[in-house]
Amino acid sequence: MDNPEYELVLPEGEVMEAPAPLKLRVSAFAIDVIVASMVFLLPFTAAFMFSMGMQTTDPVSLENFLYDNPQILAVFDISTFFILLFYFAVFERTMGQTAGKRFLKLKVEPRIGYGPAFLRNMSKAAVFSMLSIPFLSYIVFLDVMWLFFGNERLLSRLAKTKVLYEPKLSEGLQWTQEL
Amino acid sequence: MDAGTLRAFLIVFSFALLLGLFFGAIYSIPTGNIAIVPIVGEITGSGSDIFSSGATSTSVIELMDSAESNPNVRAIILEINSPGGTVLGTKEIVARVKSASKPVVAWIREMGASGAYWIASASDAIVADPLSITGSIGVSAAYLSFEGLFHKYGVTYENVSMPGLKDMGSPYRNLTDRERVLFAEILNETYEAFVEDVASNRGIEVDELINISEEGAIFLGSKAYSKGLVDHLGGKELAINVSAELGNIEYPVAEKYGKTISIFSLLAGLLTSRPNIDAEQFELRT
Repeated sequence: MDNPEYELVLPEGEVMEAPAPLKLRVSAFAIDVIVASMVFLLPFTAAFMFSMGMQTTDPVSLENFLYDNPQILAVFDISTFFILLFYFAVFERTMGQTAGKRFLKLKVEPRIGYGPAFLRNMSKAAVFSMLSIPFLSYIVFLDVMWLFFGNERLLSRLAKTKVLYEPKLSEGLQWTQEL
Repeated sequence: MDAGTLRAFLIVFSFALLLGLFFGAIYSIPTGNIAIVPIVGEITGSGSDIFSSGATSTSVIELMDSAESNPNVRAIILEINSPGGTVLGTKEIVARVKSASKPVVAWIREMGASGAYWIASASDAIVADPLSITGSIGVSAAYLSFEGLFHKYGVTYENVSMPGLKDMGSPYRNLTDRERVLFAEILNETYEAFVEDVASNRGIEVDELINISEEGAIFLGSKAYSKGLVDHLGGKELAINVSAELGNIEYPVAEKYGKTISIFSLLAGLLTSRPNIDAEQFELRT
């Protein structure tokens, strides 16, 4: 069995298990950040300001207010982290893909529960809050560094997931059916 | 949009909305567009805010910072009812009033004299009641001397200081002529700084201010108005209207700012307050 001459390598296996190209995954992440900011972070900010009794809609005033009140800024950053975490985790748990992944035809495989979904998205959700929460910046650093060793993030590996390119996935499946 | 996507969207959207409403309610801020910052009692530089009956510059500056950082607030009213206080405490508040980015209106109630008037002069407009007491533009320093009392009971005060003026201002002996001159120099310098700043704030000449201040006398608000030391005669309503005008506020809502007293602040006040051991020392007062 150790002799490579007799080893059976199925082509669909290679096609199906190869992670999607990094540039596609990064692009999907960028789209997700834009979508989540517009669809979830903006309503959150509006609800926050409304409930706080703030009568301004001027973003500069809000920014100045937050920088003058570091305690509220910290709460704002932590909330942002959890909303993004919820966005990535809930969509990947229920749909297997977020808006960005759907747009670029990427899919998280295999289908995962909430635990691994939260785990694999911790560093991505820290995009706006990692500078103010040092603990998250360490996680992001380790997670991204891991990309240099195996083309996948550390947290994705710990969650035992891969992001695959859907056309190749279906191509592989089709090939398997033909075989 | 399929059912799964809609469900995911609703979960995340509700979560974001509830989180915003929850934390917003916790950190709710005063909603008035005019902040009323009280300066009541004797002005000091620092001290326990909880057990102090006067206004510390630290607490007044904190309240002004809070009003300035609140985007709802577009003008600040200083509610003044004070006879003045220490030079440093007064000067710190004056500096904060001058650096304010929002219009500041001083509203003098019963008393806005000496250092309190100095603070008022730094604001954009002064509103005072016709019967309020103001003026007292000057500096004084006083202390009790126990030398005569000690002498009566045969108690002597022995002090070895190096150099000789180190115990200048000690209450256990009378001032020497040289010490009296030195104190007069200090007072004079402080007085000059006081009148120069008030004159500059009010846009009048120093000599004219010295002339109209009647050697540091107190006078009623109506007289101060006729001398040009006060801009408007009136009460709270007028102060709000003047603030609204300066801050371009169509529907003014005034909200009083003040220290909230919690059990933690009470305990902290107990731990940090200390007896005023400098009470018998020579202190410059405005």
